[in-house]
Amino acid sequence: MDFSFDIFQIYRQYCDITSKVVANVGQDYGVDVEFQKASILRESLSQLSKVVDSKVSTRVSILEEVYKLMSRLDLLADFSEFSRFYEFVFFICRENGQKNITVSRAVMAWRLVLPGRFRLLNRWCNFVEKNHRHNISEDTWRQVLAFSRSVHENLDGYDPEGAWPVLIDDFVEDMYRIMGSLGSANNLYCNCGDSEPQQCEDTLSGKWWKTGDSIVIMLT
Amino acid sequence: MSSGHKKRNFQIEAFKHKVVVDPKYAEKTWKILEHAIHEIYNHNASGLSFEELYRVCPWRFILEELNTKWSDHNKALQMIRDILMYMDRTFIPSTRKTPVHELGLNLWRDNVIHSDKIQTRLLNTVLELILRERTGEVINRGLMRNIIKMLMDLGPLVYQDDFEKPFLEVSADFYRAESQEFIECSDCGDYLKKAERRLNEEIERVSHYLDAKSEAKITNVVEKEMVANHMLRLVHMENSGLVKMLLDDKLEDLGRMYALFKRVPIGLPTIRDVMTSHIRDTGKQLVTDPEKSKNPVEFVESLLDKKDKYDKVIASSFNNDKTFQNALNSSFEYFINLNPRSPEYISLFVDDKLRKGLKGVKEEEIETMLDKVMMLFRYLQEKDVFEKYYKQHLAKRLLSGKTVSDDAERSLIVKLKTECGYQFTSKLEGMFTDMKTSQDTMQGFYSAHGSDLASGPTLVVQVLTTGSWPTQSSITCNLPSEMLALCDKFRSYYLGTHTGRRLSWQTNMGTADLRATFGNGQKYELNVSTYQMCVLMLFNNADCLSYREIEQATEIISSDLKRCLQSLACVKGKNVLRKEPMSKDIGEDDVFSVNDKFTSKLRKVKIGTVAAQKETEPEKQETRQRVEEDRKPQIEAAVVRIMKARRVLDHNNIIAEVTKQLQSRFLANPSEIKKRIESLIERDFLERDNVDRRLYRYLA
Repeated sequence: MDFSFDIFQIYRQYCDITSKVVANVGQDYGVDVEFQKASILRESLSQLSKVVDSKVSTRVSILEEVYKLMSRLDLLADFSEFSRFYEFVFFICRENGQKNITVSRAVMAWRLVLPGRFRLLNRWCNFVEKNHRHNISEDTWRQVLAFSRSVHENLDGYDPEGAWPVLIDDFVEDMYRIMGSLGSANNLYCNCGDSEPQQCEDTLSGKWWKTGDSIVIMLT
Repeated sequence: MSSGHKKRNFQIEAFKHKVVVDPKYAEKTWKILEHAIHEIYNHNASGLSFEELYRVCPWRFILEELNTKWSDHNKALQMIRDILMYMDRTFIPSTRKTPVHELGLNLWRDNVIHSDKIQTRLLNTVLELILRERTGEVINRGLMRNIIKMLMDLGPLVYQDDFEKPFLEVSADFYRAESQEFIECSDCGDYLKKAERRLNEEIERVSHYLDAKSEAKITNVVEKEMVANHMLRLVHMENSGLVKMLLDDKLEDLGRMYALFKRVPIGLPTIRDVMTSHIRDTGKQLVTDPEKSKNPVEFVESLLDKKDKYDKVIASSFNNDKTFQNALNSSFEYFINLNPRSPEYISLFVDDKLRKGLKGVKEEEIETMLDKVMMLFRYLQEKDVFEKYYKQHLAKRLLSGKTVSDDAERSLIVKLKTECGYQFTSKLEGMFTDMKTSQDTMQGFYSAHGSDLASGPTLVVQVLTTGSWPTQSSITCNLPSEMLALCDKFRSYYLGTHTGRRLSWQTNMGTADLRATFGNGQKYELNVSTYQMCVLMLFNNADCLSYREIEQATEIISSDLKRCLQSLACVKGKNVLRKEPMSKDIGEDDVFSVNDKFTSKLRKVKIGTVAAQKETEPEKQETRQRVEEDRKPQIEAAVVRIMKARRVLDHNNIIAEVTKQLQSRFLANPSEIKKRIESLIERDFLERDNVDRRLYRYLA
């Protein structure tokens, strides 16, 4: 058995598991079948997770590995490809079979994978760091991507009854408050300096790496 | 006539050869008839001359004259018809000619009523008389009836065209002008009285001399001109409109307004809307008035007064209209819940009544009072908060033995049960059961140990089931040694009869009766709390104790100890202790001694009973937090129940269904429901659909 940590191999396995289940969807809509699939998926993923846990050592920086993987993948072409990668990031960031990831890890991961895809990224990360004490659940993680796609930076397209996680609702409320104090939505857009640079490397010159995490290494 | 004769001939052809027809027969017959008809008219009215009618007659008497002529004409017509009866019956129908009587009426219509010299004068006279009657003159109604009857006899079209239409037009003008004049110079109540009188007059007029079918039409005119056109202005009149009437309980005026407005479109909704917003505004003022909130009992009483007031208005003035009742209910529901402390205050009101307020009150009155409380309870959105407070207050009542009427207590529980189901009251009922069981236990204890306990103090223990009673952080204090020994004896007795149970003492909820002898030899019986008893017993062995010494000896937590010392030393007439220095508040450095000069008119002195009071701000926060915690599992249970049944459901529907399911207990906050859903997703009870993120799927 191979004991070295190979993120590419893990990602391949992850894709195999998820695509198998997705491919089967659509053949049969029976509730039980649906339910079985879900449990098979969970089962296979938790096995993969155990394998990963056994291989990860303290010497490996997960986020560094994620960055390696990201730079090799062609994520710009296909959104579903990115979605899968994004969900994989959550999967790989979990520690010791835990279901959720810590706020600091989640924020680092967001700052790594979402630049150029989420215009409110900086504000979002600041908000979460400041206001959220609990861990980030998988559902919240996934919904952040959906939110980044469907809601514009001036919060157009946000529906308060849109089934967003409470954390996102709170974020939007906070944004509205800031917008209110600035006078108009236009001000927010112009003055907050939140228009994220489109290139990943440019963003990395931002303040996120000041946290002193090992990920600083890869900037060189 | 002659052509008719030929036809008759033709019809009886079969007998032709037998009948000898005199060719002059028809002419001869007609001569006779013509003569007869002239005679009839001559006899009755010597020379019926219409010329005379409209030339000689002054216009005032045109009606009298016309009436006489008309009745003559009718009589004549009657006789002519009798003469020509045979023709009327056989010849007329077969030839489709106009019957004699009708012909007579038509001739009258065309030649008299419609003659240009009479038509307008007749109409003007009739309308003039009606106007005179409206302005208060007495007119000859019999004559009017005859004239109108004549028009009706001439056919509905004549009545309508020659009288009714112009009559309605003139009336509309009249009432338009009059209402304008009224509204400028009268207040709302007077105006409505006038309108009502006018309406009744018109109805009366119809019954006296108009066609019954005209009633709806003329009342319609009055309603439109006098009510509908001025509705908003009337309702909103500054110092006499609807709001003023409601404020002053003008039941009669309100009833009048209801009856009149009911007759016009959107009349009742107009009243209802203004009433609703008035109730809401005043109700909001009431529940947000900080003065009122100071005294919960008064707060609830003013709510009840308000409800009584509007119940009375709706019953006596608004015909018990269902839609008005609904409006009243929804208004109360609206403003009662504006004050988050309403549930607490309602429970305090009940507490007050069940403690002392019901002495000497008849059973039926108690029932009415309880029913009223239930009515307020129904308006509450946060019924679970009420339950929390009710439980607390009931516990204090039961434990301090302050319930006045066991029947009343149980009656309210039954009402709550019918309203909210078994679950809501099971714990409350558990409390009553505990009280009963404890009585039996104490009897058992004393019959087992009676002999060796005769000399010492008497102990009464109430064994409370954990869970049924409001959660109390179990803080004990150091009991006096003689009590402690007794308590231990009870503990071993109880645990000996009930294996596998645990007893912990809730000293914060108890009371004690002490016999005290003061310096002047006066003996009193003091009714105090267990904490106060512990403090007082210390003075058996010491003359003077500092706050810190008392705190150390009793180990009562400082907030409770301060309150208890305050009621022992600072309340005038009940100050069995003396405090150095004298002040209202208890300081950490104060020193206490027995007040030798204590006197009281009563031999039994009640000190600082643990009456339920309005919660302080931090207590309120704590209760609120407990309520929120209790709601979480209820919301989750509702989500799981719904999802189990539906398997897949979208976000908005699940929020709506959960809210509906929980409505009978509290109004679930959508954001809280969302948090619960997220938690359920995390725990794999639910999952979000991969394609449609608003869809949840039930797992497990």
